[in-house]
Amino acid sequence: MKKDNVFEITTRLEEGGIMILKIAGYVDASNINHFEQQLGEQINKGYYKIILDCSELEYLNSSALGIILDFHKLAAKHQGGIRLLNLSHRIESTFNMLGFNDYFLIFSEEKKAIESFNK
Amino acid sequence: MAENSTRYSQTKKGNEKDSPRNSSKYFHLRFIVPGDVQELAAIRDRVEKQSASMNLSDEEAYQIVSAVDETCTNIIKHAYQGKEGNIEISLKVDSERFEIEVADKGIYFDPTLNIPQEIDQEKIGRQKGGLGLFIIKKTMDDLNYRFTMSGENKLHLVKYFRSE
Repeated sequence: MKKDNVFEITTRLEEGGIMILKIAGYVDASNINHFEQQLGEQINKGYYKIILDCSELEYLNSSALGIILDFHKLAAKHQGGIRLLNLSHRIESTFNMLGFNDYFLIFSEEKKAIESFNK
Repeated sequence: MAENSTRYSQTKKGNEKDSPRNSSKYFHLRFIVPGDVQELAAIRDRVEKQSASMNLSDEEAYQIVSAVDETCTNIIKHAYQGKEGNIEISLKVDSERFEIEVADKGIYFDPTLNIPQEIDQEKIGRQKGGLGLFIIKKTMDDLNYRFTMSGENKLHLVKYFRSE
């Protein structure tokens, strides 16, 4: 577990090389570099199937949205992608407003998010 | 005397009986914070608390918080460019609207000149920027910028309450 003074990321590796990243807290300009580094680290390690568990995520700024989209596109080139799990309604509405829902699969059950990589 | 990191004033007005929205909750709140990314969480928290006192949907409250966060981030990044300086935030609410004014004394920076008309997901990414401004434009009803005679950038945002 990597702890930050403003957000916390917990990583868990599931079967099939699926990496689950649970983000708790918020991502804004004060910790965006750390967020990018954490997400990029997984990609660099070759984990292209990533589930972002957002059940304890309170706020995502626009840069974080851009980073998630960029990494998703990168991972998708390697037969992977980023799946979003348990997004709060308020954050999901921002995703939808930007048309990001065309890109991302959003789940409320971890099992289904995992299964989506096997389809 | 050195200025405190936050200056705070709040006035309430209105008559509780004359509005579908509880007008005893009308307020004008003004506070000054250092233009520092470490202050963003506290700024969001304060705006969220004020939004929560109104009959806003959770989505609308988040949009207001988000607009203020993105505005302040732009100021820190583009107007102050790493230099020290304060940000003055004014929140004004009446029966019709939620008004926000954000002012700084950094270099001239008119965010309204940089708003993308459309979001192209193929091109968007962190480095390209513009996503924050697009969110502000999309969620706020009015967005006006002015550079004052005293050399301040002032961004005025308005969100009208939906009729009930």
